[in-house]
Amino acid sequence: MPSSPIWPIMSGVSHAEDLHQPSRLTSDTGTTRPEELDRLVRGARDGDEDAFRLLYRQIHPRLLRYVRTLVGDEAEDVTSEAWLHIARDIASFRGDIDGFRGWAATIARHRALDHVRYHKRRPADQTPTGELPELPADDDTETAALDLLSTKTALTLIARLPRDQAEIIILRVVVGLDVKTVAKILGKRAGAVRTAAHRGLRRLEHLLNDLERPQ
Amino acid sequence: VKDHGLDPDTAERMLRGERTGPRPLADLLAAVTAEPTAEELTGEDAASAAFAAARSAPERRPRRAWQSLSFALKAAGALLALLAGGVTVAADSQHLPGPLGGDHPHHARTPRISRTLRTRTPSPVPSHETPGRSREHHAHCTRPTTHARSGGRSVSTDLKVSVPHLPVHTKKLPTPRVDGPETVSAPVPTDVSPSAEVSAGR
Repeated sequence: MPSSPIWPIMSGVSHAEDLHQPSRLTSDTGTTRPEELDRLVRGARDGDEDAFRLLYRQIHPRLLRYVRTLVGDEAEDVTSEAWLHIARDIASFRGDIDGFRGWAATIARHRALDHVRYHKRRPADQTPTGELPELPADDDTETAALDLLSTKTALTLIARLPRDQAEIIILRVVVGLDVKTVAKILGKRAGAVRTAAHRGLRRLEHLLNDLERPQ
Repeated sequence: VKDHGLDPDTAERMLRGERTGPRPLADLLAAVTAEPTAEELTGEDAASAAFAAARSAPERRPRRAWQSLSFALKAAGALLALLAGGVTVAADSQHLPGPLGGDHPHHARTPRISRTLRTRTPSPVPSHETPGRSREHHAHCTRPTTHARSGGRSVSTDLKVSVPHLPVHTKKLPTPRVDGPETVSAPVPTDVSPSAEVSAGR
């Protein structure tokens, strides 16, 4: 594992599959280097509560956003359940920060799907177009409107994709997983994950273009 | 042109979190990777409390695979021993034939029972003996189960759900027979019944 930064900022630095972290989803903890994050995982595994808290601040917002695309407004509750599970089992976790992200995402996903099964509905998929919050007003210019795009609105838009595409995009862009890990979590082949992700992005482009040009 | 602007290479770089690609889409991805709000950082105390609670319950933490396995084996052994004991008791008290065949004249088989007990005693990990022992049970149970089948049902059904079937029995037998605690042996004939069918056919 090269010791290059895990949060590559701006253009074209990452060529390796594992250097794909989102650049802005960092918290103010300052612990963004991979060795630091690995250290937090080890510390939490060995019972260091401070390490666990710092890890929570790093990972929780990502999980929350991922779960939001699966269960909508129930995301807080479902993600909290996932953390109870993580807190209970982290002592037996083996792996680095990338492994931890994948493990945590798997747990969150199981909780979310349990929730969906239990309630027999998928709010994220059923959001009608009219319910999208904070759509850009007509008199805004395109760029101004999109600059104002909130995280929640953006997630709601992504949740309008077919679920596998939405999940893959969020797992890769937000949770920061590589193709292989996503494939493992979803039980798909890596090639299928790549294809679905690209298809999803193109679909999002269409969706955004439609929103920008209200009929 | 705009609709086809996203080539696979750019898409892949966007998926890795690079700030690149066509504008509206790049902005959307920027929005989903924005700094977490205070609202998104709640729950830390609850998670941390769960973490501390898990730490203070030390038995749960170091459970390894082999411990689970050994527990499972012990449980399976205990279950088999229980079942074997059940069938022995049932055979002894001649309750095995079940509600419909219960009043056939019976047979003493004390020597065989003692053999069963002897083989059962030293078996902490009995999984390999299972087929042999169930054949042995079969030897014990052949006659009773045959009776039960001649009564028109498979043994397992009769014994397992004897309570729901009670009204049916009451029709046929004016005073329905209340079986004692020996009916604990009910699950056993499930193992036995396939071979019992074979022998019943003979």
